Amino acid sequence: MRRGFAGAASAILLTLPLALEGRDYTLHLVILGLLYVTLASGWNLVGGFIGQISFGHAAFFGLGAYTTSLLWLHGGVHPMVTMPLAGLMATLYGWLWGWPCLRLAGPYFAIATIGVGEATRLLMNNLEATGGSSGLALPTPTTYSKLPHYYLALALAVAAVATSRWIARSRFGLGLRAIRDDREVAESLGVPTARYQLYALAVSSFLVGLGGSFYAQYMFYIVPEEVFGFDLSISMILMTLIGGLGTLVGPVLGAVLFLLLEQIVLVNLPSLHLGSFGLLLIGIVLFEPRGFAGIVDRLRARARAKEA
Amino acid sequence: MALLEVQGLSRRFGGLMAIHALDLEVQRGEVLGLIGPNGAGKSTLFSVLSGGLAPSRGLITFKGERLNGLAPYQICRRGLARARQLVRPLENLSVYDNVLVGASFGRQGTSGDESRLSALHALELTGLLAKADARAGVLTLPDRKRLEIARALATRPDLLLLDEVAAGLNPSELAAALELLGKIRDAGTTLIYTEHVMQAVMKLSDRVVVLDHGEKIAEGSPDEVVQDARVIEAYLGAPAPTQGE
Amino acid sequence: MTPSDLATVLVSGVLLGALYGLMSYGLGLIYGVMRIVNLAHGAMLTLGAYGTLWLFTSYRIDPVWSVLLTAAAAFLFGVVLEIVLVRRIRHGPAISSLLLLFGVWLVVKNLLYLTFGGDDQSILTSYTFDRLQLGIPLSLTRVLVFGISIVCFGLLELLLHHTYPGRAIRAVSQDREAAALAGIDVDRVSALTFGLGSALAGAAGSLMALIYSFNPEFGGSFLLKSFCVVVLGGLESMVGILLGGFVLGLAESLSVVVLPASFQDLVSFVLLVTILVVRPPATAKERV
Repeated sequence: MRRGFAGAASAILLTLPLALEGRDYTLHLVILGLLYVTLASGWNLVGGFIGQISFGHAAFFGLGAYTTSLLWLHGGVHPMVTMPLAGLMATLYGWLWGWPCLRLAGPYFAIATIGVGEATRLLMNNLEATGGSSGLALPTPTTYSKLPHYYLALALAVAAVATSRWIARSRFGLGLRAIRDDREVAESLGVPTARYQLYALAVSSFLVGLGGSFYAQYMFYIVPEEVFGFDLSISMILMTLIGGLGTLVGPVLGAVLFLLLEQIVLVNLPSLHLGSFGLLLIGIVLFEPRGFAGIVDRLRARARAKEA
Repeated sequence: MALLEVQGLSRRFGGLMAIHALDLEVQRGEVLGLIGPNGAGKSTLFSVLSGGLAPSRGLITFKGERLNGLAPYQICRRGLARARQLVRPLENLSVYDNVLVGASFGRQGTSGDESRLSALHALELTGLLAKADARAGVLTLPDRKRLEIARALATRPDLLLLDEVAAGLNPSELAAALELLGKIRDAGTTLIYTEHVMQAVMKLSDRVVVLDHGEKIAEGSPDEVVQDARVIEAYLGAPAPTQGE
Repeated sequence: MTPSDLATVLVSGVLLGALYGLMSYGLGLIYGVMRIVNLAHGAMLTLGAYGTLWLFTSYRIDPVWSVLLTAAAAFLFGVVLEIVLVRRIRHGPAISSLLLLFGVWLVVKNLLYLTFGGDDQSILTSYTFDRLQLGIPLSLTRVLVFGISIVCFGLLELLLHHTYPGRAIRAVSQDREAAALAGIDVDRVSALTFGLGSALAGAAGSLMALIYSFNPEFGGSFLLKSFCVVVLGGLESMVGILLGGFVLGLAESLSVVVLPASFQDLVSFVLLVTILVVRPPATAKERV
């Protein structure tokens, strides 16, 4: 059954852009959704798998975007070639502050990430050498089609989810889950906690950095307020929370749901967009902290109870 | 060569000397009982040995290798494991996964199959096999204690530190626990365990070391130690162990 | 740089420091008593500023007096917030409170945008541009802010050490269980603490309205500065936080000498992350 489902899903995903011929905005939304899946899956590796909530992941996104943009603008390097480097830059940055900060207990780590995220944004906003607050505009091609971007976004999303899945099922993943539950206990059982957390952060930041690189190539215009913005960091948290922190399907579901909610709010209640995020956060925390995955579990348990 | 050698170990917390100039030797295969009144420094010693606390002074040698300064996970991998007094199961993982963590990471270079076998073996030995799929968070206290031991066992330690295994157990649970410890010892693991329940100490230990205020005040066979005047004084009126075992 | 320039820089750092201390104390208090990081702290600051603005423009109340009113309003808001929302997740994992309070902040921000718009606001009184000449020229408002902050600290000291509620708060922050066993209503103390912490933030926000222009995003950078001060000064004492405030104030003041003004906010972020890394507060590391 599952094979059939996967097959059908693949078929749909691969042929979708052709079906959406002419409906450009919808295709754009789908591409955005795929990007969100990549970002949420990436964030989930730190927030969900090891349980350290990062409020500063936008720093990785922005770094990826800027790396690609600068190499493209000043080095003439084809953006797709820059992608691995963009991810690498994000990873190195993550290691720079991750190494000392991951040792901190939950709330302090979160605070430190707020600091790092905001400091990075402030720095990039004021750094004239990289365009300052006006950002960077990238050369738009003469012929433009969303198709290659769609497939790139799809490839990224698939890679992100596949990586998460692979990690979850590995010994590494078991170690991460132990760390999330009780780091000290994990350490005493032989798990190299400091190293493992850094690995998780490395993969997480790499994925989000790739996402940023993609964004630069897709939008052709990046600005620090946006790509390093606090809003983006919060979005990543929300996406994963909505879907289910620490699960595999959570980031995917959450990304899609978030995209829909975001569109609804932006179109109908743009002036309430901050407040609705806030209410959503409060609602999730109070009523279903495990997000959509939690709701599904509850319904399943209820169904089972009815059968019994 | 002694399995574990502790020389001149001291650990201070600000003005308080929790452990003071302690010398200790543990031979392979023996069961060492570590007793002393509350606050004597037993748990502190265990924390230092397993790497959770750094010694203020002194040298710890395990299997001929220096243990000072190693991270807890490294100490575990060298074959020294600890079962805590205040048990801390990994609540959101299953019982099986809890033990699997120990089995997979406790020793370097363990293959997936070996880990699974170790885990199952530890679960079997501690009688938790039937509850392997249960979420660790829902276990009763005696089961949690068993899980704590199973987890430590799964790391295939040469030396196992057991912190007050008997606390909170009723007589039949206690008997079962002692039987388990006996099996572990028979399998070749060296044990150091701290205890308040005298029965347990008398029954199982080959040798006993008594701590008081961080210092060793007596050492010898259970019979010798229990009649030592200083030990009795340290406990100040603790009843002499009964003959019934 | 001339000696008088240096003196100006140092003095302005100290003047600001008292305000920073006041601003951060509430955050530290809430964490000390409830072990909760109040991410809505920035919202309280911003509300204090806008509250002062409203009282000034609608009722001609001088900002100096509105400090009392905004502190009272913030106190009530804090108490209600604790009882209605925070209490429910008080014993849950730390991230719940982080996310919940952050959500509250977003909602407050949105309400402020809707009510006042996103433009920068400032309060211009008759004395806004007055200067005092005490050897070096000092802005009157800054001296006022310094003075009021010190007075607030004094009142706080009285409250915490010489009243029953104050001592109950300190007892709970030292040992929650022991306090409960001693008959202290920990729930009430929690609500009180959250209210008090919010009141302090509201008061600080009011004072800030005197010397800064502000918009709904205002609380954000000051939230981080508050963390910085709390981490610098520790949770142990009022003096510690006041000192922490001075350190940050001076650091920022001095940084203007070497960095362009737009980078000034970076100082607190960098300082925060550095301290957390070099000397994590005792409760910041996992217990052994």
